[in-house]
Amino acid sequence: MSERILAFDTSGASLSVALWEGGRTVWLFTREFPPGRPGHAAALVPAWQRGLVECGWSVSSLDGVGVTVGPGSYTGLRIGIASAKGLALARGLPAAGVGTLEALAWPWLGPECAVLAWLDARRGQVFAAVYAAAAPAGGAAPGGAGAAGAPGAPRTGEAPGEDAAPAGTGALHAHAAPGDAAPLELAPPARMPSAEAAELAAQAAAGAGRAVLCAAGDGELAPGAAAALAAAAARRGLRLWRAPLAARVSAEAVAALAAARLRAGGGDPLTLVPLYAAPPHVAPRTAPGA
Amino acid sequence: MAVENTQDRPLDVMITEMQLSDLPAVMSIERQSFPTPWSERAFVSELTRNAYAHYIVARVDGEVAGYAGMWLILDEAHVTNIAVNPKWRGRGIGDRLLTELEHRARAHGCTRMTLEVRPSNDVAQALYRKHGFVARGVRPGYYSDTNEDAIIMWKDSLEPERTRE
Repeated sequence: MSERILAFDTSGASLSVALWEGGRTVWLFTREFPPGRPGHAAALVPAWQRGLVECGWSVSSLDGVGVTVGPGSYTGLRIGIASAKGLALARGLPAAGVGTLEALAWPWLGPECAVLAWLDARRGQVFAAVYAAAAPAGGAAPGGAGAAGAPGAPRTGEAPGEDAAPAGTGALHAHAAPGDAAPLELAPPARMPSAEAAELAAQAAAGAGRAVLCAAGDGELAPGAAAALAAAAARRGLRLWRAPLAARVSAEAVAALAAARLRAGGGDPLTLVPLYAAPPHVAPRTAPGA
Repeated sequence: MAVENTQDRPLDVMITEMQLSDLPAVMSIERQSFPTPWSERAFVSELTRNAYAHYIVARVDGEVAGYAGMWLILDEAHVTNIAVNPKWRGRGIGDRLLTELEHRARAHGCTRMTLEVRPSNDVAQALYRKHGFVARGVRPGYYSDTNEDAIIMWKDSLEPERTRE
């Protein structure tokens, strides 16, 4: 596949921009702003312009645009989505929206785990979603087919728990580069109490016959949330793993996921809609009442 | 007083792939950082001929403040160098470069990361330990300039960690 995609994430404290070609990232840019002084609006376009120059591309050589649609900061999402829409509409390019949680889960997708991605939503609430890698061509993922899109669907594989993680060394195997296959969404992004997210993840993982892997954005989970997750996994005899790096959203993940979406035929820029972390405080008077 | 202590101010750091046009700045830092610096030709070769090599630079105010590189070989990432301009040292740039290498190695499918470090380089060893690297062996006389041994360090946990129950 020689499609060229520009992807970016402006949903959080840092800015990430990627250029993607032929199924892999060819240019990746990370900018960390000083705390409390984000500058996504001023930095995004110069960043992608730098990338185009360094790769010898131009805007007219792009085949598509990918952007995170949330949850995330209001201002960040507006900057990202407005920029993606503006570029796509002006150039007649397709644009695909990617969930922040999906991008957070992407580096950790493997055949053996359901990945719980969560972001702190304050006051004991989290934004959470559960994903699993689509079964590879070799078909090694236990329960993968039976798990497609349906938490709690009947398993086609072995018993969960002991067989969900490999025997022997106790290490988690087979984490190849995640690639650009669209993951299965075992539970869609939603805001909920952290204990509820823990239950949801354990239920989805058990249904898919996989262990649970937790990828928390912005560092460590609150102690209560971590304990709830451990308890929910233990009740179902599931193994629980933790992403060792502080999980972060990379434009590399956004590009990979956008490529899958664009291949599947999505990509109307007008369908890009932000998924805000909470309802806006100020809304048009004509907005339907919640 | 209007004098601000700029040493403590958090930095606005940009990290992206090293370009050939970065090499004059990179070579200046290289020569200030290592007793036996790599030649510019070595860097050119890494950037243009070595398909396993991956090099990044950190910029502050547009200026190259540091750089780092690794070889991505199957599931192992081997760090070749990390260096920071002396005037920007102690500001967390080495830490950011190593974090960036870890995320990029992970996205390439690497599960482990390794590097060599001089026994006399306490600052570097402290950074690597903070990132979870542990000493696993010694290459005797690895650094031919001073005949120093190299400490071999590994980080296995680019893989997910099993939590304790």
